[in-house]
Amino acid sequence: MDLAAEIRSDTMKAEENLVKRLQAKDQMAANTLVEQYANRLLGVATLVLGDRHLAEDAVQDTLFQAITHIQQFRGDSSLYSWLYTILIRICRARQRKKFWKLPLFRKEESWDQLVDPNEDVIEQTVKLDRQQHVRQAVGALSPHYREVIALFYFEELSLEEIGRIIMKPVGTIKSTLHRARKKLAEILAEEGME
Amino acid sequence: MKHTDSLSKRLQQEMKDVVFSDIQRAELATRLSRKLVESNSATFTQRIAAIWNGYTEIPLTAGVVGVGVISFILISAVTNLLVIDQSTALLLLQSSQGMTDLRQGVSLL
Repeated sequence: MDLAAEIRSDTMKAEENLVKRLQAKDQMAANTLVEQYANRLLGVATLVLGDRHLAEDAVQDTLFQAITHIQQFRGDSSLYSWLYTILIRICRARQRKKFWKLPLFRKEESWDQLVDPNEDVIEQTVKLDRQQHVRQAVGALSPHYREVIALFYFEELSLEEIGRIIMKPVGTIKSTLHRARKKLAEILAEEGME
Repeated sequence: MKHTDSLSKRLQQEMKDVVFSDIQRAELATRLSRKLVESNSATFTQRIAAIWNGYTEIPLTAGVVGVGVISFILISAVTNLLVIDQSTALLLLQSSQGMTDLRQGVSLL
């Protein structure tokens, strides 16, 4: 068995073990679930929703849904693709809600949270702008493009896995990804990035 | 599958600070473990609330109260239109009787 196959087999065993512990209501398993998946899910949710606070809520809801329905998880897919399926569904519901939500009530990240008072402000502004260029460009895409970009480029899932999560054929995912990449390149070119 | 594309690297680099803090993760784990030991069988009302909360911004209780109030107003308005008091009913009966008499008279002629 080669190294990659061995790692994959170990990961699957660890996932199966985690699911069994969750189904047996082992409280420490909840801790493992958070440690292993919360931050990965948050990255995808932030890219899909384009809002950190909404993304945090979406991830919490995802994990709660997973815990609530863990007895129904039969292992037909891997735990992480099941979690992403729930997350994407929740993100879509959040996007519909976001449309109606008044921006007046949304908590924005304050300038103080973003900059370090000990460093030069102009330098930090340029740095921040450069740091978030691709992220902002992804945010300018339409929601279904953001989903495939986040899962393919950020989470590095295969087209087959994305197809299972989004519930669309691989061919559709491939063409969506191609269009998303083209659109992203256009946005980045407009902003003077490669 | 690892994508060696530079876009992956740049995106992951930009997103490396997007993480839950230690406190947030600890709180989340505590709440999840509490949820885990609770009964997994959600009641009918809990399921309805979950569907409702997934699609609307209005709390379920407020929604039910709102629909109740609107229904009450509508029913009251429609009922008022349909209700006929005794004197109106008598008048209607008399006029219909009068019409019958008139028709009978016309047919005799």
